[in-house]
Amino acid sequence: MDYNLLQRINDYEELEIFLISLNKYLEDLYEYSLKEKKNLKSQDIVSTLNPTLKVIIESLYGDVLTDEGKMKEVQMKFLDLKNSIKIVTLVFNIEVDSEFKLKLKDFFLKKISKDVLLKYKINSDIGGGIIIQTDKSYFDFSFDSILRDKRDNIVDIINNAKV
Amino acid sequence: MILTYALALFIIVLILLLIFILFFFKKGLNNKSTPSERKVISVIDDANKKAEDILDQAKFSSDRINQIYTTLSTKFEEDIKKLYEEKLKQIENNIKIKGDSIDNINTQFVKNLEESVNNFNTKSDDFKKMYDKALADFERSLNLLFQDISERTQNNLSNFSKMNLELYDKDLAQIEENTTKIISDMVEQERAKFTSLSDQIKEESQKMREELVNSLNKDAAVVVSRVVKEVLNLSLDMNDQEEYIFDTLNKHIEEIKNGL
Repeated sequence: MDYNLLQRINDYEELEIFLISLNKYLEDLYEYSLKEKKNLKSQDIVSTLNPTLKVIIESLYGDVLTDEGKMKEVQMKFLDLKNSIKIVTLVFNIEVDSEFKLKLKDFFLKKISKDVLLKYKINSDIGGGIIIQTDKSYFDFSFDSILRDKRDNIVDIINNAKV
Repeated sequence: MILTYALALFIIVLILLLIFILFFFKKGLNNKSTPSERKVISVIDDANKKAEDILDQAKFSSDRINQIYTTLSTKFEEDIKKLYEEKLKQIENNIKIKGDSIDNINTQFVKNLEESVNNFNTKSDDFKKMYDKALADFERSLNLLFQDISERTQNNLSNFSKMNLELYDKDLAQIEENTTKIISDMVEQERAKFTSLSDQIKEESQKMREELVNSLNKDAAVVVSRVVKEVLNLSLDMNDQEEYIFDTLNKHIEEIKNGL
């Protein structure tokens, strides 16, 4: 796994967007090389690539954007990352901004595991707090679950009351 | 004109009727007790009444026993007194008979002595000896006789009083035994009645408790659900939640690591 690459990706959604963009770019690149449109400048092709992805590829792998073979290698790296990474889904009651996502990414990389990529979901029913899902486990720290426990506790107390 | 007066009178009567009805309605509203409270008060009043009945009966029984005691003890005193008097009379008669016979012996002896004195008035020494001996014998016999009577009388009296006391004790013990049994039977009877009543009260209070708990349960469930809904609708933003989320994550780091 390319940890340098992982560090540059914010979350799983972004990885999926990059993979879709890469796929499309490679199709366009292939078409370009097939049709041999020599009058078409490579930068026209490059401009179809996701800008953030373009920056990442150039900084990590150099000037490979117009090289079909090297770009396929880059695509493999991205696919390899997707297959080997551990995905952790975080559920919140509202949309989370990028600043907060960075804080979460930093926390998980430093304190949980460096092989983790975060995925975000929204569920307004949870009221607040966080739910953490992995392949193996489920942690419910939402406000809904806390209140549910308190409600069950109160009902127990009433049922056992001595009159 | 007449119609006007009639109408006015009718209205006045109606108003008075309303006031009358309101007065009684208000009186009915003052009863603020709930059905459950009135039921409990009724059960407690019944229990109090029954307890008072038991006390009255116990007092009646106690009075009756005292009466029996008084009657028996009075009768006994009379019987003993009567027996004593009869026995004493018998003893007196015996003593009297003995006394009469002693008088007779005395009279006879004196008479003989006089005859002897008359017959032997010349022989002084022999006569004196004979007289002294006879006198001594008489005194001894008399003493013996009186001693015998006295002893017999004492024995008879002591035997008689002992016999009567034994009979008295025996009867008293029998009365005590009978009385104890009567009281014990009555107490058992009343205890059974009271136990049945207290079981009834226990059952009623258990039913009331269950009803109250069920009602509390329903009310509480509604209130808690409402509170939960309100809290969940607060829609706190991430700034408000950030501290809670990171505190929670920090507390559960190991669990999350193990869950990957």
